[in-house]
Amino acid sequence: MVEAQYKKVQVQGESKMRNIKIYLLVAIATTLLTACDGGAKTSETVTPDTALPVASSSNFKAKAIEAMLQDTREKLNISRERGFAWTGFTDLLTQAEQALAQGEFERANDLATLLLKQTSAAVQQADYSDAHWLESIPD
Amino acid sequence: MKRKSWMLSVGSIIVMQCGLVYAESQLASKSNDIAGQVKHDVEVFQGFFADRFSKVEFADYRNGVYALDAAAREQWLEIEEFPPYEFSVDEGEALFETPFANGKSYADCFENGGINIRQNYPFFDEALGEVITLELAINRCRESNDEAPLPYKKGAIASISAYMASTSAGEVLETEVASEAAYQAYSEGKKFFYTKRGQLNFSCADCHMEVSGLRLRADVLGPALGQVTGFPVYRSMWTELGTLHRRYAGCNKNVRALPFAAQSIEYRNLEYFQSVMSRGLSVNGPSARK
Repeated sequence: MVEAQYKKVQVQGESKMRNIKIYLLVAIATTLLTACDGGAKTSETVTPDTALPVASSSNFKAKAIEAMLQDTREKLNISRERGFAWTGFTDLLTQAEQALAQGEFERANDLATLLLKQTSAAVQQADYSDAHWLESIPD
Repeated sequence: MKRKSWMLSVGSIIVMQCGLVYAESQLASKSNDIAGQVKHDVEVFQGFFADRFSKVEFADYRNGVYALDAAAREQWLEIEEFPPYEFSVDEGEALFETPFANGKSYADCFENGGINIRQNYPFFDEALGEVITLELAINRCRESNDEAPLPYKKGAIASISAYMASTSAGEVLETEVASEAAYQAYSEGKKFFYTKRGQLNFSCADCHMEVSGLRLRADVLGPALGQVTGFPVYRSMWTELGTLHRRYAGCNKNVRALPFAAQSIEYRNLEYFQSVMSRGLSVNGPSARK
């Protein structure tokens, strides 16, 4: 009888411990996620201390994309001066600039990344052509 | 003393003469080199097509893709029975003969009154140091007579060019490269022709040499040899007359390369190179194309 009661208490204890472990894990995960996202966004009272990380994150993203766009503008100018610009460059650049201005960072980032790849390829194409165009002439 | 200075004078004259003779011989050898190189280029270029399409007569290359594609040729010959460019030629003649506000006309700007001269264009103008195409010469004529230049791709300039070409039908292209400066322009045109461009990474030579005669979707690609002789052309796709530089821009767009402006140095040099490559073919512009 005593043994049966002891076992029952033991099972209940183990169950409670398991719950506590789960709560602890969830709490740790939530803390980590919040920290990675740049601060507590759900805070009821928005103070400069909590608002600042959110604004910094946007500014950081915008600056990073703008830097990428600046790089593409330079490569676009080089490809144009050398006569190797592709037809889609100007449209893509306009779209990326508009997305950035409207705060659509993900779209702006995608467009800027694509444009950087393409303008770099056009400059590479110009370099390659300078070195290899004679190879296309039939013997 | 007198004798010494006399000997010095004679000596310096002899040295100068020798220098002049040497410089002249160097120049002559350079121009021989240029002529030889260009002749070699023409032989290689025309030889490529002779090997590739052994059954096509050389003179037939002026008909573009219709020299290669029998079915398309039949349709084209029917189109040529009632040429769609005829009204434009008439319009061009009227424009050509209409005097400018100052009383002068196009005929005053060109040799032989502008008649029977299409085969002499493009040429390298040694004084200006650039290639002059017929359309450029038409606009420079206008500007020198205080008239506004015409847009280069279509419309009035294509009609005037078509009329002038029609007066030169059958005249043979013998485009020359006679100086180092001309050779430089020719070489730039040659480089443009063989250089891959655009997102699709194609050169003029890729489409109009390497795969000429093969199909691109439903159409057979025309040979580069003779491409310049039939311009301006009435393209069914345009439903109007257009200039060669309009076509160049269209080709560049097709491979997703940003086109150059019509009558840019790049396109003029390309036209010059293509005209040299088409030496021996006769003028047959204006003509009809798909």
